[in-house]
Amino acid sequence: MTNQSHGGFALPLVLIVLALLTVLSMGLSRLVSMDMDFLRERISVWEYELEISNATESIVFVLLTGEYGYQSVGNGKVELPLNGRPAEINGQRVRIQSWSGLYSMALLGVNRLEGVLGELTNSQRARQISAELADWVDEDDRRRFRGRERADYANEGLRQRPRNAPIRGVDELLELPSVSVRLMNGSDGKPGLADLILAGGEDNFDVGTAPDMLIGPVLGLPEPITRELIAARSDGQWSKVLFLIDQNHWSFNHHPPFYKGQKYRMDFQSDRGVTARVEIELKPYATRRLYHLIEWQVPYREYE
Amino acid sequence: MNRPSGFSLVEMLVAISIFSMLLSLLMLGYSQGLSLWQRGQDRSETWLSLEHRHQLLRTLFFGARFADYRGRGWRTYPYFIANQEGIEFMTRSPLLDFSGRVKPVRVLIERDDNDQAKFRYQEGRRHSDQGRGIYWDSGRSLLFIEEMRNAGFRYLAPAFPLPPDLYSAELSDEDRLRYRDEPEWLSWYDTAILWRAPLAVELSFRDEEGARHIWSFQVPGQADAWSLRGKIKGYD
Repeated sequence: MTNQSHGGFALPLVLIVLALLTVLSMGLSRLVSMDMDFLRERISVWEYELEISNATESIVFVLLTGEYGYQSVGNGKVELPLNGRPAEINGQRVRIQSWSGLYSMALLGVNRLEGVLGELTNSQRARQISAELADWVDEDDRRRFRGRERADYANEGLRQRPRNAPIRGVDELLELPSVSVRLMNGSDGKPGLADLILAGGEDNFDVGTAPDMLIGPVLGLPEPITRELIAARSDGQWSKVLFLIDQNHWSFNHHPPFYKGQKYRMDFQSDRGVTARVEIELKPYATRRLYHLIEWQVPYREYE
Repeated sequence: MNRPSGFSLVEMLVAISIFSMLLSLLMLGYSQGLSLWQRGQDRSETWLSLEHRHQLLRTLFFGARFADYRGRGWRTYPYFIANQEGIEFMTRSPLLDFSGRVKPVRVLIERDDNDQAKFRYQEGRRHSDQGRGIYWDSGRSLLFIEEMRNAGFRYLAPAFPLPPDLYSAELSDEDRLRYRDEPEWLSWYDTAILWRAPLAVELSFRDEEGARHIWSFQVPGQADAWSLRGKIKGYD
């Protein structure tokens, strides 16, 4: 038996073919992986939407069947705060805020807004925004101090023009030159205009669920009484809260000061902040749907 | 008797013909497999691309804003004008602008003679609306879906029972269109006549592969708006 050396081309050919196949398979797997990433993303969005939808249904059930307190609603099994305090339902962290506790532009107009803005920004800017908004919604062309009318927008080369009618939604506040995206979204742990102000809102004001910073400006109370009222509220001294309100004769549209209304905001949260915002109106007497969706931002998109 | 080693010509011919048949079968299978794989890949790409567009449209419709804008005469109503060929409405989720900027948008079906259709999306200018005038921005437009067939929209009008103090016989033909006891699918929608926003929008079409798609979009019928709801008789 003799050793024979084969100087053929089979081995290089096989190696070349293998290299080509490897490149081809890598390309294919990259394509498939991109598609899979997209599908995984879609699936996770759908799963999250389903979870939010289920949690919303559970919250609606409690809202429709529960017993209402000054600041919460409960049905014996679950207690849900309605003043924006965190709660957990169906494994979701959520903050529920009654619309009655927020600033309704339709109910309260522009006049009390300056006080609210003063809680979010410096007083000079608060006065400017308030004047700009007052000029925006009034029907005349007379400019307020610090305000802007049609001619001013034109002179400054701005495209927007005042509506001279009630604003159509809170989003419209962004058209005012002094309102920034940061002020709309909130920053440094402070809420934004979009968190506190509603264009239509409810036709009453609920002292039980309103954020602290709205109490003084909306009720028009002096600071010491506001502080006293907020302290009594956080201590659960509701008879004292009622007494302070009665002393100042505040009521809106003949509703009692703790009337909750039918509209609610739910901010679902994770460690990243608000991840979904759902707003609903309860329809307890409707024959078809027991609630209507007003807002469905899943995932939540901040103002940009 | 010595038998010569190797294959006879007949054996070789038989072997070659069997090998050729096997090779041709293999090539046929390979080519069919390749073509199937290609079709599958095209299909998957079409599906993924349509799914992506479906999601964008969902965002657009979920962001729909139905404030009461000033309309014809003294009447105010939400802005939603639509027929089988397209829709115009206001949204806070425009696809070509920042989130939260309320703008008019329209989606249009552009057909050719062979019922091939394209789906175009266009945005209006910022700060334009029904109350202050709508101005379309020709630069802010994109071809959303390129190859569609049998495309059309329809709209679910909400129940709007005739108020007890109104008599159908006394209403004009246009006013009569507004009232219905049950939700009803319509091929047109004009809030100047119907006053209320639709409950849902449906887009149906066949894609380039011939597969049928029906996309339903829920529309939040009310928004937080300084509204006339409850302030005008019969409006709610």
